[in-house]
Amino acid sequence: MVASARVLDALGEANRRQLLDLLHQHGESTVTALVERSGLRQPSLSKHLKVLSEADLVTVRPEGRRRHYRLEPKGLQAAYEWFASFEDVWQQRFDALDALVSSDVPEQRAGAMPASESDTHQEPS
Amino acid sequence: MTDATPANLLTLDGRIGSAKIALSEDGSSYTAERVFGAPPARVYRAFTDPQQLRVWFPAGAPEGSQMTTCDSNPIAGGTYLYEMIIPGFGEVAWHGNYTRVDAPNGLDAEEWFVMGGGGPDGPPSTQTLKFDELEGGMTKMTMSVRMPDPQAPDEFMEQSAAGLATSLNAMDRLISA
Repeated sequence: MVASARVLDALGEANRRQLLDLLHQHGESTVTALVERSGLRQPSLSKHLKVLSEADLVTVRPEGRRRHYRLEPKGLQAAYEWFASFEDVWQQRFDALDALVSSDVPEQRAGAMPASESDTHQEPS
Repeated sequence: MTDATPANLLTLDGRIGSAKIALSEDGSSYTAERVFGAPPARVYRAFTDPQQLRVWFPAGAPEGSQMTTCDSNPIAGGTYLYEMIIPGFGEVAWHGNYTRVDAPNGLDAEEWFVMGGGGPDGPPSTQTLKFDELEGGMTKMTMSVRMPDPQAPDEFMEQSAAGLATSLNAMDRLISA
């Protein structure tokens, strides 16, 4: 959950999303290339890359004095695993819905209709 | 839609209980499938009748949550509005328009999820519900939810990332508050 919150924070900023988009479009890129394509100043760019890197959204590969950045699926994976918690909400809703609709089939189970079920005849047409 | 997103990177195929919820590869939509133990007409009613929605829709929300509004007028061009107050978080609302109604086989709607009061703003998500009759008086529900369509790649990133982050944050609040 902590890792995912970091990912979502990292994604919650337009410049960082632009950097992810650039890495998606162009593949692995040097800091120089990212400065050119993003229009960001290098100090600002480095800060954003640090946040993205801490969220496991990008990885860096040093080569001599150059640093190459590329997208890292791990961070996005964390965000999507977190999406699974949103699944729990739907799951509980569906369970409640199923309990509701399965418990009152009066046509098939005479007398099984709960007394609270008063709106059986409001079938939408 | 952007099919250029690397395959598998954004795929979630979760299975909990008997529901299956999958996020599309580009992250802009998700689909949920679930079998219910009643015929389509009954399930359709549970999804569209306010009295019925009040029973199941708040399930999964933290204890103490209140559904303060539950209106639904399931005709083409009709609207719905669900409002909840979540302890420690505040107001959340789902504003919707029914764009296609085909009882009891399914319906389409556009929906705005609003946090902290205020009205619908920005492009809506679009939702499709389909109810297929199965043998034994059961129903297979397929629910597809698509986030607002991206117009440009950077907007796509912005909408999908920010949209996802926003709704997930809300959901996280909902479940962990």
